[in-house]
Amino acid sequence: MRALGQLLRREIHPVLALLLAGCVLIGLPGWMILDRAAILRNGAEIVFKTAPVDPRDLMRGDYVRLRYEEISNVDGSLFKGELPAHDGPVRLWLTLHDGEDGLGVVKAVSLNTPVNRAPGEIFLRSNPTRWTRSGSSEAVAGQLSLSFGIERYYVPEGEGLEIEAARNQQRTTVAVRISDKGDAQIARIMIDGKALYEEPLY
Amino acid sequence: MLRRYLSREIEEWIRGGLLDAGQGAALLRDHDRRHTGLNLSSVLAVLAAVLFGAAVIALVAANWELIARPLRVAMILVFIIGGLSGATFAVLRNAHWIAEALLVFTLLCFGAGVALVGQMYHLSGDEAAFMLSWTIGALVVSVTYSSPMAAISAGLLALGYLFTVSDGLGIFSSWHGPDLAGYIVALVVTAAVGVAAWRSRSVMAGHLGAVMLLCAVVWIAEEATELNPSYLLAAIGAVAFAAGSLMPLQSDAPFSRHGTLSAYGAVLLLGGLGMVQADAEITSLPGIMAFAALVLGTSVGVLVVAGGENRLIRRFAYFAFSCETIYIVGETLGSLLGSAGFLFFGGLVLAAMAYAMMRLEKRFKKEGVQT
Repeated sequence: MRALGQLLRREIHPVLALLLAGCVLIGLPGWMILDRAAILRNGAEIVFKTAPVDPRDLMRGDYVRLRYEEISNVDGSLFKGELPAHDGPVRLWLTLHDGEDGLGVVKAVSLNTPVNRAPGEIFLRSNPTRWTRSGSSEAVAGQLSLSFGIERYYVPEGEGLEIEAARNQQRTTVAVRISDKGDAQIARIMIDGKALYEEPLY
Repeated sequence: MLRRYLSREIEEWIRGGLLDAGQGAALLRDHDRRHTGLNLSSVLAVLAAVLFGAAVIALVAANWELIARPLRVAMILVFIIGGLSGATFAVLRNAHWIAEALLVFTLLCFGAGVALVGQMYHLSGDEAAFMLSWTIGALVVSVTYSSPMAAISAGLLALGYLFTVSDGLGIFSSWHGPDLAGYIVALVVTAAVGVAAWRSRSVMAGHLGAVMLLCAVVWIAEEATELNPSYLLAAIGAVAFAAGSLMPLQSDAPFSRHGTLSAYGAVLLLGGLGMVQADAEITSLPGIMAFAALVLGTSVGVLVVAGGENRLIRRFAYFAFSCETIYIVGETLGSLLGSAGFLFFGGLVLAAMAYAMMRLEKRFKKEGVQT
């Protein structure tokens, strides 16, 4: 016990401490940036209609909150395949394709990763969502409320108003890039189909 | 605080002829030499570091377009490297408080950096992941530099992470469902906070780790089991108190008799019993009296076992005893008598309590003289 305590207290040379801590403190944000940039560069693109509102985050500043008409609330009747065995947080997969007006449409919802990708189909994975079995019914009733980590768009201080105004007329759309693993990344926010902000890779 | 107390006592001893005046001054000098810890300049240095770090965070939050994004990232990275290098240099020069201040600044910049990535790529719903990344950064800095301030930061951030990921420990959300991976991460982070506290010899970080562990246990009990957290806390408290105050201690035990472990035990046991009582909604008078007797008996028991040795335990036991007495007076007499009678009886009970406590205090004092 005492030996373990002493071992745990062994001091690291400050220069080694600098190297170790530096690797983690630089590496973690660096890895996050590369991960996100890769989705922007290589991900498949799909466009959704959205309705933003304008709050503020203490650490990250002003943002518009985005709700997606097609994917934020998904009809339970689209659920296909096996249901979750237990109540608990689950990540669901959406199978998407482009609709007639160029906007993304949900074709199916499933628990398991979809296989056999038809041409034009994109698979999108949701954040963990609360799954509770309603009674004994095997079917999924009502709406599934889902999020994908693309529900915020950060803007320079005080510039959320333009997007907000366009929201009232339902003219805002968002182009989203989706990686092979199903992670989503906002690529452009558009009003009347024209890009308001184009996201650079870095 | 301790120094003022000490100098007052020393003055008293000198006046009573127990110490020579020269000896008293020498004792105080020795105390000052060994406890240079928290002097004004180091406190100011840490506060300045917090302000600089907050400025960096505010700069990120402003999302100022004049500075291009890669430049902002580069700026944060330079701050982090600069802070760490400065801290390394300060440690090599034995300027530990400058190192602490620089590490606090570095950690705030790291948090700003992670937030900046979230802002650049418009991440949402990642609050728990954000808090976890920041906590990991603080843990790594604390462990590598054996830094107490970084350990305290890590403890606070870890608590923030736990509350975010558990939705307020699961008590306020209607959601119940096991999240095994989440529990494991919470417990691993708790253990890491413990290691960081141990390495940096930070008592405060140790307390934060203990609070974190209790919160994690409450969360897991609330969500994953049918156990009521109040019963669980009372049970943990009873075990901790017994271990700290009743078990025979080995000479190399990591805690002292009637020390911190006992204090945690006493607070959890009495607090837990109070919560059980509030939860249970006992309505019959005998039931209420029986439970009240249990709580009163427990607080007296705690007092008798450890109250003489530990001031915090003594005060908390008094507090619990008083609350419980007022509660039963309110429950029983209030319904039988008018308000004047209630107040009169309340006064009588408080007077009786004061008398009983005085007797107890006297007993402790006598024991103190004998040993």
